[in-house]
This record gives sequence, structure tokens and C-alpha cells, in this order.
Amino acid sequence: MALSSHTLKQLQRLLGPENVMTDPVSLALNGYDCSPSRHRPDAVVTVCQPALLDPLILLCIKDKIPFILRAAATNHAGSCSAVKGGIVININPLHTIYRIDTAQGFAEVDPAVISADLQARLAPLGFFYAPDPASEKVSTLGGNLAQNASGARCLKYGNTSDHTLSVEFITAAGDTLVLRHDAPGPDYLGLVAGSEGTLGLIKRMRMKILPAPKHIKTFLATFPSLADCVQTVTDLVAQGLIPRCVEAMDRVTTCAVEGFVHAGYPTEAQALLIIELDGSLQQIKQDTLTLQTLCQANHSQTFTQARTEAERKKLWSGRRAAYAAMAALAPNVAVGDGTVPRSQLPQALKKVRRIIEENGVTASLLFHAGDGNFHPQIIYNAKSPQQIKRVHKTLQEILKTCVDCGGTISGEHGVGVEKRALMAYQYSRETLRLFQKIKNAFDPFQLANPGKIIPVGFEEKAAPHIEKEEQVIALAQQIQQRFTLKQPTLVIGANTQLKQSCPHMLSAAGLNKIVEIDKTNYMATAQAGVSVSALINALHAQHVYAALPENYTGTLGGLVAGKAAPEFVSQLTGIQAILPNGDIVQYGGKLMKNAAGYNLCRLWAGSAGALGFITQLTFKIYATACPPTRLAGAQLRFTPDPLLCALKKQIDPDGLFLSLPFGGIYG
Amino acid sequence: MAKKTRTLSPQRLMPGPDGVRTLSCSVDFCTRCNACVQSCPSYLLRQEEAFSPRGRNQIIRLLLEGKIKTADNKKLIRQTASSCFLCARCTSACAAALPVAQHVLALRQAAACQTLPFMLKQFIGLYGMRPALFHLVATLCLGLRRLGLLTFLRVCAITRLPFLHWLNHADDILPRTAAPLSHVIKKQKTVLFPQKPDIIYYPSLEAQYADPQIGLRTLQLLKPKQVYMLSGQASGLFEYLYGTDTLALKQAKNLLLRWESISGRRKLTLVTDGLETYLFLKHFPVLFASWPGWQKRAEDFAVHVSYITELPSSVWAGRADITTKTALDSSSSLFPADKIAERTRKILKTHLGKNFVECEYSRFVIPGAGNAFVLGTPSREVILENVKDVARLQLKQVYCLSGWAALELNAALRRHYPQAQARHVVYLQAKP
Repeated sequence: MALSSHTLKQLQRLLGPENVMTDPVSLALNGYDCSPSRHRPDAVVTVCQPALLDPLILLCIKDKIPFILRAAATNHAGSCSAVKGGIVININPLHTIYRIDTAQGFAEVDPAVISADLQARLAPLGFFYAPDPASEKVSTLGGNLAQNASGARCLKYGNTSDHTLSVEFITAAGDTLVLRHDAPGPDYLGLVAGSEGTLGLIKRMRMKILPAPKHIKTFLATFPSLADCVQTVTDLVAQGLIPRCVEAMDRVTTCAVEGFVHAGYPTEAQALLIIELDGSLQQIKQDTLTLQTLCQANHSQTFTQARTEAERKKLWSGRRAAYAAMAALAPNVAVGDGTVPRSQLPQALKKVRRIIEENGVTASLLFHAGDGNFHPQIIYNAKSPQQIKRVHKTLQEILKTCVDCGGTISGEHGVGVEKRALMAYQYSRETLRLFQKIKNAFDPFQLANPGKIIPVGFEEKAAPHIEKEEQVIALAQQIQQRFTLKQPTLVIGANTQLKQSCPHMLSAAGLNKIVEIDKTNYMATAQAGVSVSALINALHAQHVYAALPENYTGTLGGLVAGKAAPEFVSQLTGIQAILPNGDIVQYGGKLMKNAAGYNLCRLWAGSAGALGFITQLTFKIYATACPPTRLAGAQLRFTPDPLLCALKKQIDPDGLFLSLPFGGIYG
Repeated sequence: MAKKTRTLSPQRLMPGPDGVRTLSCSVDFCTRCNACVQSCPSYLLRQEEAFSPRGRNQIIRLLLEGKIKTADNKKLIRQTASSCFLCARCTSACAAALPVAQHVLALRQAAACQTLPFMLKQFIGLYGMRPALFHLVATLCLGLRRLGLLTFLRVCAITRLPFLHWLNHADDILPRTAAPLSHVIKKQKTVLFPQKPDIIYYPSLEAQYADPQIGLRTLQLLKPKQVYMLSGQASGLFEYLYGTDTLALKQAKNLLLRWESISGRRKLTLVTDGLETYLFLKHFPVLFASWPGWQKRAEDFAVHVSYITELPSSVWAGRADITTKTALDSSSSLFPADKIAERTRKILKTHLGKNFVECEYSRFVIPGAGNAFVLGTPSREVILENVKDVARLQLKQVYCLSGWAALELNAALRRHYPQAQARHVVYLQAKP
């Protein structure tokens, strides 16, 4: 789709002629990222002032031109290639750090600020920004949020979404909104994180900054097997010791890296762990003892501590050079990004190694042991069609193995176009349909980064493999029946908020089972009707804790749907829900990271029952008591914003699910 | 007569981690990971993909694959090629250590980039081919300068024209050029051609013409030995950067033959003071890769090439009498100089103790090997950023590994931050 001369003239008038390029060289140079995906846009525009973003998007909407935001373009999944043409918006000149407020703990930045630049500005102030993706020296903060990147410190500190306080966001419908996690209504900020620019664009961000730890100690431990290595991490978490970083490598990778940089890794060990602890000196001393004991209990062969800063750098040099070691061997490196529940890691890695051997490809394998995320790095030559085919097949098989192990096809790199087809393997037809509806609500004209995330023709291809409880199926049938008869439904939990009856009530009280308290992955799954106090008691009985408010009288579903404890929302890792038409959808699971698809946990958090019926939730638990969670009170009475109205129109067009924000409860 | 068209040769040889690669193969090794981008001064100024090392690699790849043509946007391709400072910071940042600066040289030749003003190119070309004529022209230019011609041109703003901006440097360079190292040494009546030399000293272009003091100090450092000074012989570096490969090869061959005839069977060490010159001499095996016989001789030669800070520690022993904050500038062109920088850093740490400050310019480097002459405004912007870094760190002294970098930085410091000065590393005077 070539742009009309009128559109080009308007773009030139808005941005200046030197900032609008349509020649083949510029188009080719803005049609790629780090993935094999290459698609030339119709034009490339450079935006030098944030204020120009709004009129530019309005112009795109007016002329129905697809737009793709491009900053550092370090993506491994083809998230910023122009699959359907349109204009690529180069936002690299928007890299201003406006304000650093150490008293309130935030930094206000433009989206194209490089993560490492922010770190460099914070370091002299004694502060740091927690997420540390491997590409932090070149990737931008906006890109990190669009992919919900995390990095090695994810286990302790969480991902980019958790460290974003607010975002000035322009939806693909042209509305400019300020998104915050704790605002009434769905957690749009959480939904935008990991959306890969398909819902709109980020204009300005406020990032959380933390005081830098005074002391950091790094350790290297080697193990006779991968299982021992992973068990050590599980035991660490079980002891309540959450390290700053836990990185692991298998023997093949260790040998490749050692031959490249000589980091001093023992090459005879089957697996090694690099563990980093931070905090006060006394705390580290205490943790070191625990760590050493646990490593020994899991048959560690060596346990070394980096005594100087030079030794610490040397230990990390090997881990950091893992990509370089492979990049020097062949022209192309394909990087995978599968994630599985931590307990499944040894089993999944064994299968992955077998797939690599069977397909005859050369690959290194490194993983963030704390969160079950691993990166196979397969080398190949893109000029050989056979090799491309083989690498593609290997990656597909690896990612399918991850899904089979209860994991996801992407932990932090996103879906883009490269893994789009595999979305149909991971998600059911109903879930993908919901993703499409979310996209439609934010982007009614399908202009924001089109052709990403949602697979083409998923209606035929999607896997209908959700395991459902009979009780949930019965409930879904009931909702479907009401949908057919156009009867309204009012979802309630323990009815602690309304405290009155209504003829259309559908209670979650029957869903009162605590499905699982998994002390290997430190995750718990419970049905939505379980009362929060009963859940807390059950967790305490098992000597585990969750970030749940202690004095909340309602159900777990009510707590999430009413966003009564906004901080608990970030603890959610999985959700199952019934849509107003009776479809059952499921997202996530016992996963620390999931960058595949839109985060449905965040969609339902604060939705006040307007978008569906939450049936089951999975959330993080801890071995030590969590600090008390703030109880904000259920946020059920608020005026729905245009986005919520658009979502409601897409998900519940007949308005059958009654809720307070949408004009009451009596239909 | 049909106009001769130049094309990008996919077979041009480039250094790779395991020997030599063709340009086509070398470019294919770019995984587009973008690790290089934030290290590139020209990208940091422009913030556009076409001005990044990744963009330059991709332009070459697309041209070689026939997916774009030079005619598609000749101006952009020329700008892309000529805007590279050849500082090789991208090679240090690259996981596969790709020689992007050399990719760019190939692109410059193919896109017929006029990177060096014609007159300047002819003038510098004389230095290698006809040293006597070069000296004559330099003296003549100096005379014109004394007559106030340069001032006149500057007042009339004629030096602002893109092809004349190099004249702004004439004040710095010309006086020294007219009194080159060989003349200075002749006056001192030092014997520089002993019968049985222990070591060969090859003064860099800057030591010969731009700052003869560098040459004199290097000779002092080498004093206990019988030094043979190999002056008046071009290495081919300037021709490689701004001329043609054929000319560069011819110069390199002559230098190689001179070294062989002087050292004979003893294979003497050849020491040089210019970082770019040193890195280029080390690059000889790649330059001669298409001629197997010569390549072997070049390999033999490259093994015996040393940079002054690589000399035995006894040469650099002692402690300097400097009590001000001092840092090292390791800007180089074409190739990364990580090992040399590391070695020099150690020497400076020993000499200066706590006064040595670990200073990496936060984002920019000094464009080396005369790039500042060529690139005009962007180059000055880059140097000014470095001056800001020097001021921010409150440095008083910056030691440079490259004579060109020292000249450039010092000129900028004199004007914008006179509290500090930049000097070549040979100026470091140690107490025994």
C-alpha cells in the first residue's frame, strides 16, 4: 500500500521534509530488527518532539495508515517489522530524562531512553532501576515495556511492568490517556506491557527507581546434573532466600563460552549456577552460609565466591559472552525464549537438548534458573535454505515442548511475527478470540503494528486443550444459556460489596476449592469463590505466605475484580474466566514470566465484573511472611472510561453482564 | 569515453576472528543485534538507522545482494559512508568483532565518496611519493599563511565552504609540516643510521610532520639502543583511508622491503609511535592476503611490529612527577586498540598512582587519522562532547595513544577548556 502524495505532503508539513523518507534505501534500513523478519514500510518518519506524536497518530487514523513504532529495534521476534506496510515511526530522538525524584522514587523519561543511560544517571545518586534485560546497553525503556522485558534480576525484582508507575499513552483510536496500575477499572498499564505496540504508543513514562544495594556478592557453584542445579534454586526460594540473580548454563554452553573468553568456569561440571546476593553485609553473610549449605546438600562440586570486583566481573564475563561466543561462529544466531514452570526445567531442558541433537543444529543453552526462562541460541547461515528450515523446525519443536510442559512460547522476547503461528498451539480458540477483541477495542481500525501476536486463521488452527473442571463447565453452560436468552447476569462473590440481592445474581461461592499449593514453583492456584481469609489460613497451614490483605472479608475473585488490593494484582500469574457468551478462556499459569499475548490477569483486575466471570486464579506465594498488603477498598463505583466502554462493547456487546460502573445492577 | 563505474567488490578481504573473510561474508556475520549502535559517535549525533554501524552493514549487504542500488539514494549512501569516523568503537562493541570501519572504506570507494578535499588529498599524497616536493609545498603554504592569506580566507568566510574547511587546521599543522622531524634531527646531528642497529624506529606521519617532538621523545626513550630511524617512507595508511587500495599496497610493499633490507636476517623489531600506523602495520597480512608469497613476509613483519608502550617495562620504569588528575584517551581508527590501551593503562597506573583516573569518554571518541579534517562540523561536535567529559571529570591532563587525537583534542581544549591539555603518551616523563 503506497502512501498517497497528499498524505506524504501532510506528513512533511507536520514533521518537516527531512524527517519523511520514502526512498528504497531508507525503507530497507527500517524494515528489520534482530529477527530474520524483513518487511519494508511505505515510509519512514522521524519524530523529534513528543508533542508531534498526537497529531501524527491522528493523521494516520484519518488516512487509515498502519503505523509501527521503532526505537532500538533489538527485538528477536520481528515485533517492529512492517508486515502490512504503513509508516515506521523512528522515535530515537525522544531520549530525554526529564526528572529523577529520589524522594518519591521515580524517574520520568521519554520512551527512547536507553536503559543503561538511566542506570548511569541513577548510579551517582545511589539509586538503580531494577529490570536489567541483557540488551540494556542498547534497548530502550519504551521497548522494554512494550515487550515486558525483565532480565536476570526478575526473580527478586519482577519485570518492567512492575517497575512502571504510570505511562502517558496514545491509543490507536487517538485518545491520550494516563495509565496507572492503581487507577479504578482494568489495569490498562499491565495490559499495555507486553502488547508489542499493537494497542497504541507510549509517549512518556514514569519508572520506579530503588535505592541501590550497598553490598553485592557473587558466587559460582557447579553441579553434577541440571536437576541438582534447579533443585538448589527451588530450595533457596523455599528458605525465603531470593537472590538478586540466578543464572545457569549447561555443560555444552560452558565449554563454548570457556573457549571464547576464559572466564574460569570448570568445564567438567554438567551445570553451573551464578548466584548474586545483595543487601546489608550482615544479611549477605547469613545468606552466604545458607546458600553454601544448600549447594552442598544438592551435591555441588565447587562453590566459589568472587572476592574482588575484578573476580566478579570475570565470573559475569562468561555469562555475558555467551551470545558473542555463538555470534563469532556463524553468520546468524536464532535466539529462542521459551519459559516453563521452574520445576519442569530439568525435564524440558533434556527434551530440548534431544531436539537440538535430532535436528543436527549447533546451539548453546543458557537459562534464568530462577524463573524457568531459557534461551537456546542456534547458529546457522541464512543463505542456506536447508539450514533455515532446520533451525525453524528446531525452534518450533522447542517452543512446543515448552507449552507441553505447562509453559509459554515467550518469556520476555514477545511474539511478533516469528512466533505468531505458535500462539494457536498455546492458546485456545476462545482465548485468541478474546485477544482479537482486546485489540479491536484499543485499535478499531487495525492500524497499530498490525499483523503481530494474533495468528492468522486461528479459528481453524487453535488447540482446544483447556482442562476444565465440571463445575466450571456447568457454570459456563448456564452463562451461555443466559446469553442465548439475552438474560442479564450479575456476578457476585460472597456479596460483601453490594450487600443486597438482585434477580440476576450468579454467585462464585460454589467455586471454593484451593486447587494447588505448589511449594516447588512457589505458586498457588485457587478458585475465585474461595474466601481470602480461608485462603490465608490454608497457606499458613502449609507454612507459606501470599501478598493477600489480612482483613478482607470477601472472596479471592472479588478481591481481584474490585482491585481492592492493587498490589496483589502484580502477584497474579494465571487466570481462568468465563466470558459473557459462555466461552471459557485461560491465560498464564505457574509461570514467572509470560510475554505471549495480552495479560488477561490485568484485564480482569478491576473490571468490576463487567467483562466476565473469574473462575480461577494462580498467584505467587513465599516461604517468608510478606509485608502487609495495602487494602484500598473495592473500586466498583467509577465512571467507565472510553477504553472500558470499548472493551465492554467488544466482549459483551449486549451489555448482559451487569456491573456498577455500567449503570447499576438491576439490568 | 564511457565513465568508469565503481562497484562494491564482494571479494574484498577483511580481517575476521579466524583469519581473513571476504566483504560479503563479513557483512553476513552482522546479526543486527544493535550492540554497536550506542558506541557510534555518528549515530549518536544523527539518531537514524542509516548512520549507525548496523545500518552501514545492512546497506552493504543489500547492495551486494542487489536489493537496493546506489542510484536509489546516492546522497544518503554517500552521507552514510562519509559520516563514519572510522573510530572502530563499533568493532569493540560487536559480539562478532566485525571490522565495520573497513566495510565502510569499501563502501566509500564504491560510492565514490569524496571524503578528502581534492587539494588536500594531492598534498598528502605527495608526502608518500615525493617527500622533497611535499616539504617544498608545505613551506610555500606556510609562506602564504604568513602573508595573511589564511586569515583573509577566514575573514571572508571562504573556509566555511565544505571543501575548504580543512584549511581551518592549517594553522596547527603547517608550521610543523614545514619543519619536519628529519630536519630537526639533522640540526641536532644525531646519528640515526647505525651500521648494526638493534631496533628500527618508524615515526608516524604526525611525528614526522605534525608534531616532531613526538619523534624526538620516542628517540629518547629508545636511547640506550642503536636506533635506525626509518623516516621519509609512507606506510600506505593515508592512501588506504583516503586514496586507493592499489596505492596503499604499493607503499606498504616499499616499507616491507625497507624493513627487510635494514634488519636482514636478524628480523629487528620495528617500533612506531602512532597508534593508527601501528594498527595498520599489524594489518599488513590481510592487506597482502591475495598474494600468498607476500602475505607470509607480511606476517613475519607484523610479528615484529611494536607500539612504544609495548616496549619492555624497563623503558617505562619509574614514576612521573605529575600530581594532577590524568586520564588516557585510547581513540584509534579502523581497528580497536583494546590490548594496547590496557597495557598503557597499566603503565600510567604505575607512573601516576592515584592521580590516574579511569576515564572513558562517556559516548564519543576523538576521530582519528585525519578524520577531523575531512568531516568538518560533525567531527568538531564529537570533539566538543569529549571536551565536556574532560571538564566534567575535572581532568588536567589527557594522554593520547594517537598523535592525531592529541592534536585534535588539544586544539579544542585550548579553545574551550584551557585548564586541561592533551598530549601524546610519549610526553610522559618518568623519574628513574
